[in-house]
Amino acid sequence: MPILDGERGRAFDLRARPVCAGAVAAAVRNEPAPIDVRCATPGPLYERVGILEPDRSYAVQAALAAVARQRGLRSSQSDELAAVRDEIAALDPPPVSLADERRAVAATDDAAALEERVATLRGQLERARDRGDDPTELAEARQRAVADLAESRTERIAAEQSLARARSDAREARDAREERLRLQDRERNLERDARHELAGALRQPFERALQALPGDASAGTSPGSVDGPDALGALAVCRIARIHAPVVVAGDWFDDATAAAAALDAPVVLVDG
Amino acid sequence: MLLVVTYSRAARQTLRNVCNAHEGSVVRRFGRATLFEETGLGAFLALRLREKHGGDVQIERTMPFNEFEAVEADVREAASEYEGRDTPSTPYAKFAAGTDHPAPDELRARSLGGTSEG
Repeated sequence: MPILDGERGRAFDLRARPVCAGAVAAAVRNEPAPIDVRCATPGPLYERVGILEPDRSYAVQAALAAVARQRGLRSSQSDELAAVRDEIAALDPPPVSLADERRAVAATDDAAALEERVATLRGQLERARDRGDDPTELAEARQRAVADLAESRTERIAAEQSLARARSDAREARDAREERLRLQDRERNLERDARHELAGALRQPFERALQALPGDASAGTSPGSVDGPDALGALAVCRIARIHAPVVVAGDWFDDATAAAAALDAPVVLVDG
Repeated sequence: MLLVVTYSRAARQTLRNVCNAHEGSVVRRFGRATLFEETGLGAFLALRLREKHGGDVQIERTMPFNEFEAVEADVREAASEYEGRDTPSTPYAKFAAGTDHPAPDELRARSLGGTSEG
């Protein structure tokens, strides 16, 4: 038996119970929670203003813009935004990793040691010849060292060429990444402009809601901004939004749950702040 | 110095955070790129970024440019005289034609002196 049944009312008062706002909100979202709640499934706005606490911070402008979208408003950026998002989705920059090539170049860097070995053997060979010793063994060793050196140089050149090719390929891959970043920045700017515009479209209902609600706050100059606590802006958003899942209120703005549900025009659960 | 260039929002943000936390290792910041000091710490910071963001982080090693070592005198003179030209609309190719100044193609084909980092 749920302690809170959305089918049996819109206003619930849990202030006498040891349950916090987060726990109720979790139950509303159908996440593991210490209490059982039966209610409508929360929509996207619930994430923004589903919990109302005096000291919480809220992205009021974004929430207000979401209400505007809920009401079917479209921003003048929406077509371009969709196009930019399509472009981003279509981009698939190839991976860029030159680690293997760099490692290969570093691994072939033993020419100095080999050069030294060739020089040492040459000296030893000359001294052996001066002494009249049999130089065969030293001569063979020197020949091997010379061959090793030549091979090492060839390997080094091959590795360097391979790295140079990889670097040149990486340049194109990075162009694609740069383009993606440019589009992402464009997307973000458009989103910001759209939020601004959509929130601005609801300026009057937002102002009226702030005036009708308890607390001392008024609409700021910029759309969705509040002169006063953020939470009052969130309350105002709640009031003008269509919200079916119970909003959790943990402030002493309202005398009782019924008054809160009436003021917010939404199902409400009061909890102890 | 180590030049670190980022190619995604996330990598750019991490770079900003790293720069704020390690100002002492930062020589200069440019939007989504930063020059780090050529120290073990600079390399550590750059490598950490690449470890986290993979191909969205490019690391290059830069070297000081000394035009008196790296390029021949005619290049320096050409640059200086071209900037002092009388008609600003003259393109370099035209400016260099018929003079001792190196032609654009010749300049393109010349590499710089001094060692270059792989």
